Amino acid sequence: MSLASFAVQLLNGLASASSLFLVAAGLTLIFGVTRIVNFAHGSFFMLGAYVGWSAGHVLAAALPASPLSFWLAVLAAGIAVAALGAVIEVLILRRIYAAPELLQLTATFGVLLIAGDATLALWGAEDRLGPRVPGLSGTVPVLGYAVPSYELALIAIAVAVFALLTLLLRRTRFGVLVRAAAENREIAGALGIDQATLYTTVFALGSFLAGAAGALALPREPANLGMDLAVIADAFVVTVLGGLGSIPGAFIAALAIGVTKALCIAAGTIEVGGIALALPRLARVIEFIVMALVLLVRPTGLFGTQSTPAAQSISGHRRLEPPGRIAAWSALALAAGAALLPALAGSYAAVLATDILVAALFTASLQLLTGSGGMASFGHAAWFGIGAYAAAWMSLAGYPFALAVIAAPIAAAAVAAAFAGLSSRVSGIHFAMLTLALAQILWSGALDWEPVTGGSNGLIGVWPPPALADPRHYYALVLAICAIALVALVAVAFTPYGYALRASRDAPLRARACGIAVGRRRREAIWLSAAFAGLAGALYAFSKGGVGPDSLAIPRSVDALVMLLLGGLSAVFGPLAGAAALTWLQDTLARSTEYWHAATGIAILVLVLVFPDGIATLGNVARALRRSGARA
Amino acid sequence: MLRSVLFAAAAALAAAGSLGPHAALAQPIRLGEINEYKQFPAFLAPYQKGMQLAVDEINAKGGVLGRPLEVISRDDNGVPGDAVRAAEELTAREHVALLMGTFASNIGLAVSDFARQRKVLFIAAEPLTDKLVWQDGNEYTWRLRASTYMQTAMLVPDAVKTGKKRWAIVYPNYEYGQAATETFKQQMIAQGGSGLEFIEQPVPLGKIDPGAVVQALIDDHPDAIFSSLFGPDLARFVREGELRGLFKGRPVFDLLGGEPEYLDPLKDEAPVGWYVTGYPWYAIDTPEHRAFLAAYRAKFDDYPRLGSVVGYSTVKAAAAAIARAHSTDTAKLVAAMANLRVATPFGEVTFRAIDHQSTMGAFVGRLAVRDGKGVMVDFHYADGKDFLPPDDVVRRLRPAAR
Amino acid sequence: MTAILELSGVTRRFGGVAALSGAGFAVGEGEVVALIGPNGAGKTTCFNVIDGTLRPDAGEVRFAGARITGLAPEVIAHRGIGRTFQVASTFGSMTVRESVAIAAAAHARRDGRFAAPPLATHSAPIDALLAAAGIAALADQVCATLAWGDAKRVELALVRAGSPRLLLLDEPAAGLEPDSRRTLMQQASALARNDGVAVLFTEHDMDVVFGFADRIVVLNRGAVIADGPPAAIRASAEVAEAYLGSAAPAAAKVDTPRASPSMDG
Ligand SMILES: Nc1ncnc2c1ncn2[C@@H]1O[C@H](COP(=O)(O)OP(=O)(O)OP(=O)(O)O)[C@@H](O)[C@H]1O
Ligand SMILES: [Mg+2]
Repeated sequence: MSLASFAVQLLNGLASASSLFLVAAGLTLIFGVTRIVNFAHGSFFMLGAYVGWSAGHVLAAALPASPLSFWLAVLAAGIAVAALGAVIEVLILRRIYAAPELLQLTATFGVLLIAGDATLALWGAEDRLGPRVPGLSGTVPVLGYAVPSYELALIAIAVAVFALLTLLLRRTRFGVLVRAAAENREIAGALGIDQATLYTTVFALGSFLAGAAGALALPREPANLGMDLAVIADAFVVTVLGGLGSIPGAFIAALAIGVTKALCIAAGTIEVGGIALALPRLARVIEFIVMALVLLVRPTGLFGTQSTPAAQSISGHRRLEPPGRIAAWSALALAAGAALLPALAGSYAAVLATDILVAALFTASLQLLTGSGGMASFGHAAWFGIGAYAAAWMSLAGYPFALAVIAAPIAAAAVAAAFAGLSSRVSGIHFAMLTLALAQILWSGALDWEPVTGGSNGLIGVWPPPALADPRHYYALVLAICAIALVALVAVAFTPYGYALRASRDAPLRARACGIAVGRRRREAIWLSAAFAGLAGALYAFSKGGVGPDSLAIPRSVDALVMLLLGGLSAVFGPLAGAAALTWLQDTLARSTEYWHAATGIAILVLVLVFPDGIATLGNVARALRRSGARA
Repeated sequence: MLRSVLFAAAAALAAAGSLGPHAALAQPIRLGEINEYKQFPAFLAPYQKGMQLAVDEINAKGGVLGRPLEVISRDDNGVPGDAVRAAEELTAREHVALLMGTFASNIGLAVSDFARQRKVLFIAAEPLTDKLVWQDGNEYTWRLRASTYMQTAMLVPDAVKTGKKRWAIVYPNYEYGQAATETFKQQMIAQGGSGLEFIEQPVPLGKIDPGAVVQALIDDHPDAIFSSLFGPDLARFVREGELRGLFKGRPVFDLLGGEPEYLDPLKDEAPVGWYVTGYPWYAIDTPEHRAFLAAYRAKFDDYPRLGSVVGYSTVKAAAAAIARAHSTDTAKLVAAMANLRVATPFGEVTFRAIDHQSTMGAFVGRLAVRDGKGVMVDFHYADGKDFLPPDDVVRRLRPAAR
Repeated sequence: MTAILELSGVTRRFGGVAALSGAGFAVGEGEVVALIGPNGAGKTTCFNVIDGTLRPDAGEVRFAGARITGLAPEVIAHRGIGRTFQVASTFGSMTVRESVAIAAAAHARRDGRFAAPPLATHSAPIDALLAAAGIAALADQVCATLAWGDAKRVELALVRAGSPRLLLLDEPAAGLEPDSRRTLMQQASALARNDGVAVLFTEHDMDVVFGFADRIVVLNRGAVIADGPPAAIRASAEVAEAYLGSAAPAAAKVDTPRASPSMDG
């Protein structure tokens, strides 16, 4: 690579970084102030692109060949999406600020599902390529290379937005409030800040940036239905890498990622000690690798501080009530009903129930980590996937079924123990992102390590032995294993260990001063929870006849979080209830409407708003009603 | 707003509830269909229309074996495990005669393995992976669409003719792109001889970094380019490459670039002169296709995409198999698939007994812009049967047929 | 009297601020010592250094004759140091009974057992702990809902569940009604008198300080400026100057009789 080429590749990286910054700036603002893990931010970006595309068409007809039409369309997209963001904040998110923080993630996930289907309904399935920008449609010669002038303009826009946001935050009253709220919610409240207005404003501003960024992306990529998911993970990486709520941090993080990616692509395949390394392949996960390395060295990101609440354990935990006699009898009745299910409802009911049980076990393993342990994980699929791959690989290598199933939790726990050791200094949302990074790196590895993992196609031919080939028989086995594992997980929560873990979550300093080895308890929670997730993965692999990279991918991690929060973060029946609700909903809705993502999203929103503590606390609700009725 | 959300949810739940077990009207023959409707809507929306057209045509003529056909579709959300669950549901609860569909290779393979395990016929519609009929081929799985190998092989003769030696290959970094790259290199060496050089540029699916990729390719100074990009990645690559002058003086081949699904969004920016495979529905002048086009337009007031042809032909293949087997019994259906001849808009195709691959071909031609739209010109139909390896090689490629 | 706790030359800086600079003092077995000083003098930092929450930049902490500098808080807790926090800290999601039970289990090193029977929350020792702290009536209340004063009493019960040989109490009486203050402090001094537990406490209320301390250590800007019996501290002009910010003798304000004179040796 010549020096000129290197320099121009840096410029290319800068251009990519610019669009990344524009999306991430909005996310970091929202995240920093409201602590909302806004999954719908990518949807706002996508909607911005589509609105920009439509507005561009209308305006181009009104103002032919004028560059104004494009810029007005960008503004229109920003404003439209800002309005939508404000509406969502007021109608949905505001109602659940008091609930566990992760519940807002669940709600925004519902919004993401609805937004995707709404876009499909409004704009159709075909990709929409925007026009080039009049006046910026050509190239500028740079060191002998033709660089598109629009990309240079994009860099200028990013710098301008950075400067404007910095001014806004440093020089205005609004900025002071935003920074106060980002530093410390309680202090901000004490200062008499009108939280509701501030949150709505910040949410609208962040959405504006996402929408405008979507429209600004149009000259480089067609508006398409995959944009939401393509951008969201990177935006989160930039936000966390830079330090939550830090605009300069987001700017530098975006630069770091954009430039590293460009250089990986430019470097091509290099030889290191006789091994050929295809660096462009790393483009898939380089942002996660960079983030993981930074978090291991600086646990709160480049510009983050330990004092921000996001660095602490997630809060808002309810008491985990020990199951009483009623709960024990219901569990027994449930198990008996489950055992009779295939006889009563046929073999497909057994298949569906198998999926529900596996999902419940996976979710329950997350409950140990996130509920009792207070450690949110955005990458819990890592353990599920390791278990699934380990079992599949053993089975294909000819080992007996039982051995393959046993190997799965061991493999997952072993990797988790190593991960726990490495990540012990990282906490809060940063820990969650580190788990995501691990899952993404494993996912990419599964895609690339063809000989062992089967690459993107995964491994097939992984079926249980003939005696269990009938789905009803396999279900019986899964029921037995999951029942034992679920009971074991509930039991663990009420052992001295379970209490120590919750004590560490509630008040880590107090717990340590009481002699609880908080760090050790947490590391144990990571590998224990991984073991159960790995077991769920193995059962999954054998129920589906194989395993693929999807078992490690983001949607599976998100599913577990959504099921946990739907069911109840601090309810012993939460995982089972959440898994049953979501799996059944998806299975039923997918069969009944083309727009079943939206239908699922609406159902999630309704459940979240009606049962912020989870549907498994229905019983509590009933009890509370009865009590208040008795008093009245 | 909240009330209307609640209302919509209630409506959705009510709709779900009313769906109970189907009435025991076992009259129609049910075909179970599984696809990634949410992941690839641009391809699969026209595909669904194609299926519908075929079903209506068949039923208008009295159905098959005197019974009407009914397609029961399931969305697998792009997850192999969900596809397997849908397959379980279709077989156990809906008692379908056979399974068909799928777009992505990983889903196709998962359903194919399910078909082997549960002993049910699976007609794969679209998945391109060679493994489906070769390495991982099995008794119960048959495929309609021309494979990655076949489509790549269709472009190789023109690529050889360019006489270029130094090739840059850019591909989406998963099995489809990797297989296309491998096949291209092998076939070029087999047909193009010595002195060939290949430089590879894998890009993450759906997340190409076009500026950096295009410049890296420019720096590689290739004589020509072979790409297997499609969808938004292709659009971004085209725009950036045109701007930066990557394509000037270099022949470019793109595996799927002529399919309306990927070509139409480019409008007047369709890269002129590229060699592609695809579907020039506007200029195919055969009786079969004229009839298909007229019927499709009359029914949907829209033009067909390649997905329409695939959906239409898949249903036709299923109907032909049932008619030939005179039964919906799996063993008889599987037997009927061997050397089954099916009339499609591309002409008659045959499901080869040797590897269960149909001989459906594709159109090979070059891109041009007419009336502000991308079109294929100078094209010809490449019959699938001419782009498959010799039988002894195929037998070696299909070791187990488990 | 042998010293159970000795600090020497302890320095701890936060950026430019030296919260502690070369602080040194000792606490004897069964002794009740008050650590006083104006806001920001370094009292809490001193506690944090002793219990291992913070590492000192220089200096040494010895407990029961062994060096404990740099050990983890949980290790130090097991050596026999218990502490309360300036803002009482309890386990918000648990009932009072559950929290005391887990604190006792942790003391018995049973907090790592996950393949074990459930945590025993109803047992005689736990009832005794609750009763001793006067919180039996609160046993089934969830800690997050405790009133300020109740939280302080619960926290003290958590600490006592660890049977410490040295108690560090950070402003134990702050924010309490005079009655509750007295009961809480009496509990602490009873521990010292009856069980030989050493008590080191910080406090801004001079009534409490002079009412309960055997000895007083005065910190100012991170350094010990006085260390002696209450009478001497009361008389010290330097303390009055630095701490009270005026020349008025401390004695003028402090006039409470000792709360438990009978035990005084
Ligand atoms: N974690 C920390 N980071 C930065 N500075 C700190 C930290 N903890 C304490 N300080 C500073 O160290 C100094 C001593 O604080 P410390 O809390 O020890 O005082 P204190 O004597 O307990 O005061 P108070 O009577 O108000 O409780 C103060 O200037 C304080 O601002
Ligand atoms: Mg203090």
